[in-house]
Amino acid sequence: MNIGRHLAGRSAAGGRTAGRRFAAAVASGDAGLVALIIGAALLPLVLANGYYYDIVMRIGLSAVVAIGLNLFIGYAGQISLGHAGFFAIGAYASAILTSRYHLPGIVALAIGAAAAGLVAFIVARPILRLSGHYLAMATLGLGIIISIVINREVAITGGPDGIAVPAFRLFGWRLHGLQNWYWIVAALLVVTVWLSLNLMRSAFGRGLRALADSETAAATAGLDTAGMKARIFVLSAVIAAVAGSVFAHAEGFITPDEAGFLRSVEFVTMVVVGGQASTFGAVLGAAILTLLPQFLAGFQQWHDFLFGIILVSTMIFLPRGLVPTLGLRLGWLRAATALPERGGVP
Amino acid sequence: MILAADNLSKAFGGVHAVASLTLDVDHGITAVIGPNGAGKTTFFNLLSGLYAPTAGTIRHQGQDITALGPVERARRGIQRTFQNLQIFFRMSALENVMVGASRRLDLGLLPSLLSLPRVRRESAESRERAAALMIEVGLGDYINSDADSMPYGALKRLEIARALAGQPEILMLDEPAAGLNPRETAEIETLIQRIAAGGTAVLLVEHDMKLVMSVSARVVVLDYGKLIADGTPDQVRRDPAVVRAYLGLEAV
Ligand SMILES: Nc1ncnc2c1ncn2[C@@H]1O[C@H](COP(=O)(O)OP(=O)(O)OP(=O)(O)O)[C@@H](O)[C@H]1O
Ligand SMILES: [Mg+2]
Repeated sequence: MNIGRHLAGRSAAGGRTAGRRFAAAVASGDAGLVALIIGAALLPLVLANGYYYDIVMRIGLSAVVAIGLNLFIGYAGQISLGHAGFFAIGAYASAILTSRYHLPGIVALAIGAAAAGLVAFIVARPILRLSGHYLAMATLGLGIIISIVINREVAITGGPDGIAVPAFRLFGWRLHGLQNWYWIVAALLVVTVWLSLNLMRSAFGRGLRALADSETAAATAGLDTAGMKARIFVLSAVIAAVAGSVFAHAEGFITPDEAGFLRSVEFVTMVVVGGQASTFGAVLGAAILTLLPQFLAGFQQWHDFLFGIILVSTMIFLPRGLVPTLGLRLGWLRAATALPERGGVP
Repeated sequence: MILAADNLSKAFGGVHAVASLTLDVDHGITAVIGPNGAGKTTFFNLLSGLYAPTAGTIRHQGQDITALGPVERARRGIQRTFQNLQIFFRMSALENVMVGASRRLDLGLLPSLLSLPRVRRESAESRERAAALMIEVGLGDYINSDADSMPYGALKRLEIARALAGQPEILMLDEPAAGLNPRETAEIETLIQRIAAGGTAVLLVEHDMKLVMSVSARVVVLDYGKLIADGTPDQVRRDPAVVRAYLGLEAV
């Protein structure tokens, strides 16, 4: 009889507590999150023109992808060289569904995220049985396949020329202008950081870090390591796709370059440079690797070369990445020095 | 009986690491001994589901669990430690123990992402329980330590604490005293006896014969993957086959 009312009451309360939890996280000295929110709120004061907005937005969306990827690479200790593929699935789903089928932006975004999640889910079990180089090759192959499909299906995707993306529409309201998109991206980034921080404080997050150190011990402790890796892979794919959708609308135009192997490497480089297993490291990595090429205008042909140099030298000189290394120096984080031996079955 | 191996075999190429082993494990402390390479660790890997046997079956509480993987077996209460440390080195000692309790935790991804009150409560409770357990096994000094900063002897005990956190029905210890000094070995001995007294069945692989003979109610001896003796410590000590297997190694 009043089940309906009961449920309605419950969900409203649930929404309120989620809000209160978020407020509590901010209030309870979650310094990084607070700093991010304040920074994001103040940043427009110094952004002089659309060019800067564009760069900041690219940083924000790359950071969102990198945070998701960091869950998979940094925490769970896996590797993916195909995440640009998931980003592109989101971007192209939004582009195609809103331009050709006139679906509302939010629906296209949801379909793109679901499609990326589905692809990740389908390939997860076979792919995640692999590790190290084999996993790198498998995910690389997946990214390349997605990229080829986008390049070849000219009638649907526009092929190598790319495709124009209509403005984001929601209930007749049209979102346009980089300044407005800035707030969407900022909110998306803050929420992604919050989710990542939450996850890593949970038993699930601890389990991820455990299986990165010893999958054998994690499994014999009763952790469903295969299932956890698969779920994190799917989550990181969905996050990348959402960022891709927003990117497509905000930029108004996308090309298959977004799905390319080099984009995948860029995302991995962001995680590695910023610091594996650090949510804010991923954000910093995204900022550095988006900004650097801007200072190299006129040297575009060196772009990929530069990324290669950055990636290799980070791995040699700062194997933990920037944020964890600085954290150690400043004593923010626990000192975790010795890298464990990775063995198979003991 | 808790675990039963029936004609269990595991071959690596031409090496018959475990050969047609039939063995029941019941409550109390059962030691599994044998010379190096006798197949003791392989036997543990078969029981915990890390290896699939070449032939034979394993039953738990009468149910055939041969096809189950390590995760399902752990969830049934079969826990273990490792001869070569399998510590989560990039985590704190406390977190290592918390992970050990995973089989009793709800690990939903969505609730974890949203940090639902239930998740935080479970996390807090698991932290308390892990700390209490660490104090109980004598690791109280290391509650706030990083695993990679701990001495070897403490890490051996940390593996036991992690396994105990899963509240095992049967605990398999693979050389818990290896590399320990006499004082640490004596502490491990007391700990093993306390664990067994608490109702947990213990399967103990150990080369320290003094430890084995003093804690075990029953000793089984493997040689080249085969069961060559099974009895009380006294019976096994006098068994000619055992003496022959160990000949030139040490006096049993
Ligand atoms: N993964 C493996 N691949 C190939 N051979 C193996 C493997 N694991 C064990 N073996 C072989 O199986 C035999 C039994 O090894 P196992 O490690 O079970 O012995 P053990 O009784 O535990 O010895 P120790 O007392 O030295 O620990 C040995 O000959 C070993 O070389
Ligand atoms: Mg062994």
